[in-house]
Amino acid sequence: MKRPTDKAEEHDWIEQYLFGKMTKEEAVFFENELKNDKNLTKEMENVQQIHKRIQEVFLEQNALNTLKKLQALDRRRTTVFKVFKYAGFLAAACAAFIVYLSSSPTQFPNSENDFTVVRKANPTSMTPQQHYVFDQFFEGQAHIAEGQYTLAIKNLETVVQFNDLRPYFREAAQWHLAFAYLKNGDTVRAEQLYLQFSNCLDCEYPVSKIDRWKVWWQIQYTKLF
Amino acid sequence: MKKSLSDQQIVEGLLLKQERLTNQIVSQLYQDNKGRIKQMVFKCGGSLQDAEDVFQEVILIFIENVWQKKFSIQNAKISTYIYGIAEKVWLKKIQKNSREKEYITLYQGEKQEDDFTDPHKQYTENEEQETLISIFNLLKPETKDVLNAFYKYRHSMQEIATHLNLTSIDSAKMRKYRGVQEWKQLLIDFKLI
Repeated sequence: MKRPTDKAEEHDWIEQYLFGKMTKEEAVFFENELKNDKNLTKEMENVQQIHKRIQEVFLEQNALNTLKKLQALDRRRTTVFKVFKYAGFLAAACAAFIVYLSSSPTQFPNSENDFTVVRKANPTSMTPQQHYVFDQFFEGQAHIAEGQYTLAIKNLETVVQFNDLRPYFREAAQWHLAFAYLKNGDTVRAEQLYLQFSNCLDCEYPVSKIDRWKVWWQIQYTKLF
Repeated sequence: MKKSLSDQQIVEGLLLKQERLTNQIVSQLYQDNKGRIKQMVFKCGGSLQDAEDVFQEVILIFIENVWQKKFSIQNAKISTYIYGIAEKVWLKKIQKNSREKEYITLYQGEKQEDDFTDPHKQYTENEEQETLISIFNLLKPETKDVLNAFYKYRHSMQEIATHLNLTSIDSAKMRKYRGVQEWKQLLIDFKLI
């Protein structure tokens, strides 16, 4: 049995011993060489150190992979949580908005005691018919405020049938009438009137967007349920 | 749910150098310490990515310090020691990013007393410590390939020769020997053997 003379072969030889790949005779021969050669002992210790460090590298690589997986999992969880959180906020905001549209009172621009409801109206020289329409308009508004929608409808229908109304107040009367229809459960007529104003470009009676939405939403809601 | 390991069990477990146990310990260290370290990094303007990078480096340094017996549970709780390492790693990182003054002032202003004697002092000795992985990554890619193939995946020299398109087993042996020498030299340079 011969001991390798080449450095690379000697390295292999030491590793074969360390990995237990030698036959019994080869191992005995190696151990005898170890006893007699301090350099070989030192070289074997070096190889053991090299092996130890490389095994530590592999363990660290595994640990790092585990850590990266845990971090990726946490990131995914955080993303899902954020999505749910924002979706929840959005849903809550939508629900709150719908509740607001459904329950808050619709505000139409005020026109109380405006004597120009009818064209050419002069409070001192109004014809009885003009006076009647004037009264009907404000009575209609008063009935809406009191929740007496059938009476309000009667008043406001009388107003919109009158020909000599200023456009501003015709629209005001129609909006109030649509609202009274809606509250009275007549969604078809309410919607018909609402649609007249939904895409109107030259309307004069300034109903805010939010109040338009309220009327629209309440019509849709009443139609559904 | 796995039972939580004590500090003593963590140290003993790491010294056993078993893959599964090491991974279990790493998972526990992550769960126990991620919140504090993230908070520290965020407080100083760091991102989630910064916090993750810091944590990875901290865990590797901690494991190596346990292996090299530089850490003792007599001196510190593991969580405190890890936090101490994290502070240093994070400060080193922000110094590197040339944002040093702004963040250090902010950070030192907010730093609070901890329940441990002095984790910083222990870590300061290893302040410039490179992790074994980062040293290993200094090797040439072909060297890493051959060392991984032989020592990690336990491939035979014949398999390595085929895998690396080498003409013979002898060439593969020579490639492996040169790789080992390169690795040995790095370990000597970093005073690890």
